[in-house]
Amino acid sequence: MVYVHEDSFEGFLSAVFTVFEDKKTADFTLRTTEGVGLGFDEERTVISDTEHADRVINRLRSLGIYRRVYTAYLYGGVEDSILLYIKRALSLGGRPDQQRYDDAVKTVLTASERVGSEAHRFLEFIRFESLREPNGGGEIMVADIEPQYDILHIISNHFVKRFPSQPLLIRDMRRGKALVWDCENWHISTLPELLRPNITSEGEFEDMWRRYFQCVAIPWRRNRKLQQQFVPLRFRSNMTEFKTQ
Amino acid sequence: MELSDKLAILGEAARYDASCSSSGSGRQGRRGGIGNAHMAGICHSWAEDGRCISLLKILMSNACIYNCAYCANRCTANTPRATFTPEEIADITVAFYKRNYIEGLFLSSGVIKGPDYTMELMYKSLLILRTERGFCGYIHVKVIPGTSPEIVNRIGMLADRVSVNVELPAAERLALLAPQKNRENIIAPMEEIRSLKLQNAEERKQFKTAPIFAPAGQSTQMIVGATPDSDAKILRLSSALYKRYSMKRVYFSAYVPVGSHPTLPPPETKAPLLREHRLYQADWLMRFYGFDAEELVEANDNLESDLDPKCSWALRHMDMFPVEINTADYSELLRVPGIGVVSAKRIVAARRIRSLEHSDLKKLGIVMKRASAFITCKGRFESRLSFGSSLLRAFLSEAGPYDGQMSLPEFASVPMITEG
Repeated sequence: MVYVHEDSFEGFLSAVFTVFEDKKTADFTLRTTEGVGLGFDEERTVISDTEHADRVINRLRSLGIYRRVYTAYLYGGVEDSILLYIKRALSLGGRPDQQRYDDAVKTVLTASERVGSEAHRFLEFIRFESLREPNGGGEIMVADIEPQYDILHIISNHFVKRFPSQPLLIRDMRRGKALVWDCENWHISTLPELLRPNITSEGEFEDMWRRYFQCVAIPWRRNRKLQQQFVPLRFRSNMTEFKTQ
Repeated sequence: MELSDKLAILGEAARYDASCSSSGSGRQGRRGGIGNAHMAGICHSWAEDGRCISLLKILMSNACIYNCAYCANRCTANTPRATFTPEEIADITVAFYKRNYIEGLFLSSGVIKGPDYTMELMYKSLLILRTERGFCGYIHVKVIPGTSPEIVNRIGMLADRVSVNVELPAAERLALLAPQKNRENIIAPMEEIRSLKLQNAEERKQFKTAPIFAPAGQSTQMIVGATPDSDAKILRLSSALYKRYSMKRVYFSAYVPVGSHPTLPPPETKAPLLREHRLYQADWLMRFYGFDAEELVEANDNLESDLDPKCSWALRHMDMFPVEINTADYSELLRVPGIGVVSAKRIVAARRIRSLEHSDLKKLGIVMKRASAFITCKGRFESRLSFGSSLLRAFLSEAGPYDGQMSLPEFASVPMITEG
């Protein structure tokens, strides 16, 4: 049986709910409405259902695998393995992570770890620029990112805790979304309403940072290959120290 | 002098300090303030030399009155001098921090007038940061030998980590090369930090809200290759420092000739990068793999240069292999080349569910190229290299002449590894 679900986390969770309800965990395939079916198998369209999705989330939380499932989902394309992973967790009554030799478990863990490491990269590489609101408004720190996966939710907690009294705007330029923090609440917004002038990266401290960055390197230890291993080129267009002014 | 020029001079002057870690402290942020500390530490960039930048590493001043022969900032060196004011340090730190360039501040200094005078200025910088600016990010302070205990105590109450550099592996060389320093006034503040930390822990048992003295503990650094000391001597000293002072880290810094002195290597000498790399590998084995300094060097004076110290040990102890993956203790697994801390833990967890085959191991993250000659699964040995053959050594060695550009991935990423 092929389960066709909406291309969203809620859509995916609704499909998970339906597969378990149908007792089809031994014979199922998940596909999004965007995907193309081969037409060989019987199909069932799953309508997204918030209540079903919430029930699945609660169960995942009680099994201690919610974050794992969410991050693996963000990786994309491993939905079938995630469902098998959940099935193993249910029969075990907890995390099946020690069964890494199992292909489905290994697939989910690898996907989740890749998303996790992408998120960690942005704890390292996000570069804020100071923008003043017009008409004597306050200061807001703005950063642009182009992450491979949709990691805004995952990094929100880190930045909100770190800057309790500093308004932040982190714009995912690839997906047209932004993390907005006003020192009281944070939420994920869509970009158009938040369009602001391009970040210029000009300023006293930006220049000082670029100069410092050159000075701390020990010339006789120069090793650009190693540097690139740690800061791949794709991150550099949004990093102050790699922008040439 | 412009602030930017000062930063360039004092950033360059601080770059030979190897310590960069921002880990080991869980300092919380607070409303109205800025920053917090991340337990595992975060690197924010990597410079052109492939070393990570986690903290704003600067000197308070490089106008040093000392004349240590191995140091680029000695008073007789011909180099531009600058001194920050405490306010300037606070300004740059906060401005960089809020842009997410850094995890915090690493503050060291040359000696202005005397140790206490300099350390008071550094204390003032910390006080401004922690109180006026509400800064809760990471701070590491380098203590100058000879500083009064009372100042060390005040600094430790504001900093996350404090450290004193051992400088050279042999005490007698120190007297020769750094006439104003001696082993006693280096050891004294280490002892002081250790006892203040113990005393603070006692106080915190009674008053849970009492501030923590240097939550990320102390570390130290020594220069490798400036003196003829052997690896064995360096590792024994490191081991003693870890045990006696509960050091979180001992850093090694390959010496590059910056001055001339009859007992120092001549100016054309290349810095011993490979040696530094092997020492760090050995250091890792002592801290995370249960190896003792004596086991790593045994009868030799120095570590082998073309084999990592773990392979080198394994080849000297072939009688202890092969190890059966399904029954070996965790500590035995850790000693197998190609098995690290993470993969050893995965093996122990996975084999509780079912016994493991060779085909499972790659999925658990074991480097089979290295490990296969040292292990069996359910009694089966699957290496093509017959056990104990002389080919094995050739296979494991990192061949080719060293060109000084070897990558040091494990060590450049030091701050990401949780300590303690």
